[in-house]
Amino acid sequence: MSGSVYESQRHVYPRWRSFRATTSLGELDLPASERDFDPVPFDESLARGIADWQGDQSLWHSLDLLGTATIAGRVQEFAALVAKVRLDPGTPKGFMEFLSSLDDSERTLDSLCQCDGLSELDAGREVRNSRHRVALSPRDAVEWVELARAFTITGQNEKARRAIAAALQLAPENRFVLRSAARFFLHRGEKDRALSLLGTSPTVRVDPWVLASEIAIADSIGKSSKFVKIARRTMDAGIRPSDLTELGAALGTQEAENGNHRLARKLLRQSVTGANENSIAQIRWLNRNHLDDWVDTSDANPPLLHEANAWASFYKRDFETAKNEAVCWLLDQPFASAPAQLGSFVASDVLFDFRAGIQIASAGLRANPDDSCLLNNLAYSLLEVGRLEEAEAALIRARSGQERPQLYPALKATEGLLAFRRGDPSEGRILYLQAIEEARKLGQRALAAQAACHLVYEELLANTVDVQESSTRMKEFEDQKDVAELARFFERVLGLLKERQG
Amino acid sequence: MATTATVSTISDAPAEQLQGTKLDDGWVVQEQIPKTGFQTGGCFSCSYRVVGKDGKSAFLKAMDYSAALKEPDPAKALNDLTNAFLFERGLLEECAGRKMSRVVRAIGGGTTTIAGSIVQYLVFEEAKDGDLRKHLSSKAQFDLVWTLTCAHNICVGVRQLNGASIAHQDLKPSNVLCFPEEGEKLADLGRAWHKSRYSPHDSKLFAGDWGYAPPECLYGYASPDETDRRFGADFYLVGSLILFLFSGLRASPMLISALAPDHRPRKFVGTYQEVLPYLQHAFSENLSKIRGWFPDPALGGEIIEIIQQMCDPDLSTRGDRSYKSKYGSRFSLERFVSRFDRLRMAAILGRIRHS
Repeated sequence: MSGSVYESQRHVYPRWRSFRATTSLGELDLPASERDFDPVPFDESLARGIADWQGDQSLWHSLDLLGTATIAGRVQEFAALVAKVRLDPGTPKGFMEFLSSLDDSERTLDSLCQCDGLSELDAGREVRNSRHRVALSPRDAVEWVELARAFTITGQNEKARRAIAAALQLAPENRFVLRSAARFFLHRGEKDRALSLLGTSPTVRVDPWVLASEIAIADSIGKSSKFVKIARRTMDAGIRPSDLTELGAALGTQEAENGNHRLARKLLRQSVTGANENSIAQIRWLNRNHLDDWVDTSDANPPLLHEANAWASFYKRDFETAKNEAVCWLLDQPFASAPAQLGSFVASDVLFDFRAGIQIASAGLRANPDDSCLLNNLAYSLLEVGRLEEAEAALIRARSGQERPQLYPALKATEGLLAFRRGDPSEGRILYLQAIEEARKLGQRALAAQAACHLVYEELLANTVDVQESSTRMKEFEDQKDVAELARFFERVLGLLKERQG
Repeated sequence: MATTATVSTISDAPAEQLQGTKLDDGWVVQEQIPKTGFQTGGCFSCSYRVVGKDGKSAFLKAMDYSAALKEPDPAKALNDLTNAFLFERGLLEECAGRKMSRVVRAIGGGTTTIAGSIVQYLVFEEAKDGDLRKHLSSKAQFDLVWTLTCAHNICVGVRQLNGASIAHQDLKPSNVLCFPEEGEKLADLGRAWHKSRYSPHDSKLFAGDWGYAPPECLYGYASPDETDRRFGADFYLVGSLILFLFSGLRASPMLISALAPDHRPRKFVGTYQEVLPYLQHAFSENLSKIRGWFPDPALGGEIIEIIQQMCDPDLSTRGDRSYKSKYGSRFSLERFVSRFDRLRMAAILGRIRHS
C-alpha cells in the first residue's frame, strides 16, 4: 500500500521556478524607492527618430525607428508600423524574431498557468539547452541557476551543486540566485547551510523576499532568526504588499507556532494582501493545523495555486482534482517530493489508477531517487499492474534508503502484498500483521486500518481460508471508514466481500 | 502613432538665408536641406547642398548664432554654440591632419556675412548614397560581402578616432554615411569626447542619442573611469551597428525586449549593479537567438563572438581583456578590423567559388 501523506510541517521555503516563471510572477522586482528617471532624452530621441522617418519611410528607417521606440518603452504605439514591417519581405529574419518576442512576453504568464500533464516535463532537454547557453555565456549567473535546477530535477545533485556555486560566485547578492541556492540546499537536506547562506548575505537586511526565506528556514530548524526585528520593521515600512506576502507568512507561522495567535492572524491577514501561492498554501496549512480557519483566504487566487488546491481538494474528497492539482504542483516544483507523494498516493490508493500512480511516483523519483515513500508507492502500483520484478527492485531500494518510522507500516504492507502476489499468502499475512502492529505502535490508527483493509483484499483475491479472520480484524477499524482517503478502499473491500459471499 | 516632432518654419535668421550665396572659397549655396523637424535646445545649425567651382557638390553646415540670442540666457547659449563649433572644427582638423580615411572630412569652412551678421560654416564631402539606412533600403537582398566590408569600414573609422583619443559617442545608422566609391565613413563629431580636450558634452553621462545608448547609461551608471566609460560606449555602439547590419535590430532594443518588463530601464528601481545579472541573462538568451540567424555556423560563431565582446552589458567585462596587453586597451578595435577583413575576404572567395 502507498505511504500515507502527512502535512505535519510546512514552512514558507522559497519556491524554485525557472527564471522566466519567477519574473512573470513579479517576484524579482525591487521594492526600493523609485529611481529618478528622466524620460526627456528618450522622448527627444524618439521624436527625432519619427521626424527622420517621416522624411524617409523606407524599411531600414522603419527598423531603426522601432528600435528607438523600444528603448523609449513606447513600441506599442507603433502597431501600424510593426504590421507594415512584418509584411515587408525584405525584413531580416532577426528582426522578425524580435517582433515575435514582443508578443511572447505578454503570453508568458498564461502559458505558466497551463498544466498539460507530466509529459511536459523534459528536464533532459533543459539540461542540454542550459549547458549550451552557459558554455556561450559563462558569466550569466541566472543561467547557472537554470542549469542547477535542471540538474536537480534530473537527480544530478553534485553537478547542480557546482552550478549553484558558480552562480553564487557571479551574483552573490542577487535575490533569484540566493533563494534558488537556499532551496537547493534545503532539497539536499542542508538546512544549516541554507540558513547560513541567507543569513550572511547583506541582501537579507534589505530584501523582504530573502528575509522571509531566512526566517522560515531558521524556524524549520528550531532556531530564532536574528533578523526578526528587521522583519517586523520591514512589515511596517510601506513596501508594496506583494513584496511582503512571504515575510508576513513566515512571521505569522512563527507566531502561530508560539501560540501567539492574535499577532499571527494580524501578520497573516497582511500577508493575504498581495499574496502569492506559497503564502496562501502556508496560511491554509496554518488554518488547518493551528488557527481553526481564522484567516480568510477565499478572495486570494494567485497564479499556480496548485499545492493549496491539491490539499483543499484532498480534504474535500475531490480526489480526481487533488490528483490533477498535485501533478500541476509537481510540474511547478519538479524536484520536490511532496507533490509526487500526494499525487501517487491519491492516484493509486484512493483512485486505483495504478498507471497514473506509476507515472507520478516515477516523475518524483527522478529528482529524489532515494525517497522511500515514492519508491514504496511505485512498488505498490507496479504490483497492482503485475510488474513484480520491478516492484521488488523498488522495494529493495526503498528499504535501503533513509526510512522514516512513519513509513515502516507501509513498507511492511507492500512487502506483504508482494508475498501475496508471488503466491505466498502465509508470508504475506505475517508482513501485513507486522504492518498493522507497527502502525498501532506509532499511534497511526488510520494507517493500521489501511493495512487491515489491504490484507482482507489480498486474502479475498488469493481465496484463502483466513478471509473471515481478516474481515473481523478490519471491523475493528470501522471507526476509520470516514477517513477521507480510506473510505473508498473500505468500499472496494466490502464490495469484493459481498461479491464473494453472494 | 505618437509624434512630438515640430515642423521647421522659414526663418529670418541669417544662417537660414544662405541659398544662392557665393562663398569666399568658391562654394555656391544651393537649396536648404530640410531640418529633421525635431530640434532640441542647443541645436543651432542648418544645412545646405553646395556646389564647388569644379561642379562637385558637397554638404554645408551653417551655425545659426541668431537663434542663440533668443535663448533665455543668450550669453551662455552663444558661448556654448561657439565652443561646440570650435570643438567640432578642431576635431575635424585633427582628423584631417591624421588622414583619417573613414571619418567624413571637412573640405572647407569659414565665415560669410548675411545682412550684416556673420555666419560660420563648415563644408563636408557629400555622401551620394545617403546614410546606412537609406543604402540598406536600396538593396534588393542581403549582401554578405558588402555587410562585412561595411562592418570593417566602421571598425576602421572608430579605430582611427580612438587612436587619436577621440570617442565618437553618437554612432548610429544615420551617422554612417555611404560613399559610392570610398565606402562608409563616420559623420557628425558634434557629440564626441576627447581625452585631452575640453568637450561641450563632458558633463553628460552619455553625450549621444539616448535611443542608442549602452545599457549602463540606460540605468544611470557612470563608471568612475571616464576613459573606460567613453570608449566602452563607442565599443558597444560599434557592436550594435554590426548587429543592425545583419538584422535591422540594434543591441539595446534587443536586450531590453528580452528583459522582464519590470527590469526594463523605465521600470527598474534598483541600480545598474542590481539589474546586471538579468541583463547578462537576457544577453545570453539573445546570443543563442543570433546563432539561429546564420546558415553558416562558422560565420555565425564569429559574429556571435564579436557581438559578445562588443555588446556585453557589463562594462567591466566588455571588450577582450586579452587585447589589453598588446594594444593597451580592452576597447581596442585593432583585432576586430583584422577579423572583419578576414571574414570579408573569405566571403569574396566564397562568392567566387559559387559563381
